[in-house]
Amino acid sequence: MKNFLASSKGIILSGLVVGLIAPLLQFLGNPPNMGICVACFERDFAGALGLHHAAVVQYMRPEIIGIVIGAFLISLLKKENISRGGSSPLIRFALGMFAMIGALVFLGCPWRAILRLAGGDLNAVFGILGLTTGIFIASLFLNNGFSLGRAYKSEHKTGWIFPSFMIVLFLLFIFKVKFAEQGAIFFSSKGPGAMHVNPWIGLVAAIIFGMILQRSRFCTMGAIRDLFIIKDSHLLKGVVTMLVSATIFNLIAGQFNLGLENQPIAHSNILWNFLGMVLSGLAFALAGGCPGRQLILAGEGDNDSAVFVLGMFAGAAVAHNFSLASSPKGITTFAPYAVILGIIFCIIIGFTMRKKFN
Amino acid sequence: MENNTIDARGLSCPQPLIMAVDALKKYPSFTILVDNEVSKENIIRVMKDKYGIEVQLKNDGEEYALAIAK
Repeated sequence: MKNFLASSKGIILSGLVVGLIAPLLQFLGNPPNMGICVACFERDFAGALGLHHAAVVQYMRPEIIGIVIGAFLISLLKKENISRGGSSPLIRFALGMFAMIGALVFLGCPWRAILRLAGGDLNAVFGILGLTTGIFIASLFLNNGFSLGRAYKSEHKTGWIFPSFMIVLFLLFIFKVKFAEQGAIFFSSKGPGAMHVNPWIGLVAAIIFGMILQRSRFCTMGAIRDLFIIKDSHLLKGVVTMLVSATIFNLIAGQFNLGLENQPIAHSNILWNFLGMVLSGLAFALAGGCPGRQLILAGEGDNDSAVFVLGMFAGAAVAHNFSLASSPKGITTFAPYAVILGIIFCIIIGFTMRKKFN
Repeated sequence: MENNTIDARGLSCPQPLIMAVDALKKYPSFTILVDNEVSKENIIRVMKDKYGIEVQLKNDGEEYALAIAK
């Protein structure tokens, strides 16, 4: 077999690895039901850079860096590291931004939605339903010829820029460089941003993640999308395995707490948990991958995915600076407007970006 | 090479896959060009699992020409 991890057993193995490492990271210090949440961790990352000033969520998560580095290294080794880009970058930036805004209304990316459910948080059910709805709408666009246009390979190593940024940022982070007394790099002293594993553990775990997921093409959005588009359950096997293994781990480790109320870093507004994730699901599916997958692709040399990730950083800044991000107290006054605006944006993109194929 | 050649280079999944499945409805045989490993894997896997078709991988390297026949 050329690529074992891309096989049926391989995708299940990937789900198992994610489903065990993520709650293990929670056990070792990461925030509850947030072993690896790409949206939350990119939000913390944006905070560490000072893109927003929510003091409780500022930490340059080494997990984000590790996923990119892991994918970068394995793709080099397997000769799949190909610098490419040029497929509607600004639209991808905007999709990343809105995806993050939606995710921060719900409080989690698709990975965290699964991890929350695995921790017994039933609010996640509404998030996952929203995600599925958003992906379903995007599938209709995809089946009708939606395309952001083709990418082109670069003759130069342009795909190395993003992983290089990550390495530089890791050095600044690990040496805790302070550029000014009140300046970056910021570290939360309390709140979720202050809850973290040893940075080296986070980095190494994420490098393993990045390597395995690059090989298996694990994608939570793709899992649902492929069901709608071609009734293919290949990727779904990985996601289901992740949910089952994380639930079992949480039950054994005493991290399982079934219910709707008083769940960690979550709120119980059913409607906006649902609609926040409708927006995210739409944006992820139109952009071609869940946030974890986008990080992997950015590591492989896909500049369009790197732009999507930067859009997510910007979205985190917008969500906190404009007070759109939810807190355990619930959603904010302006969150519904932002979510609706985002959904309208995605629908316009879905209708207009069509290509007639021969 | 058949007359029916579909160019899906530069596109990432699911688009090449959708194009392949659509083409399968239209043509008895066709060739689809892709330039990434993931799309190649996906098309080969879905054609085999869903349609029982063994895809012929025509040329290896940076780009792939996948010959598909019912």
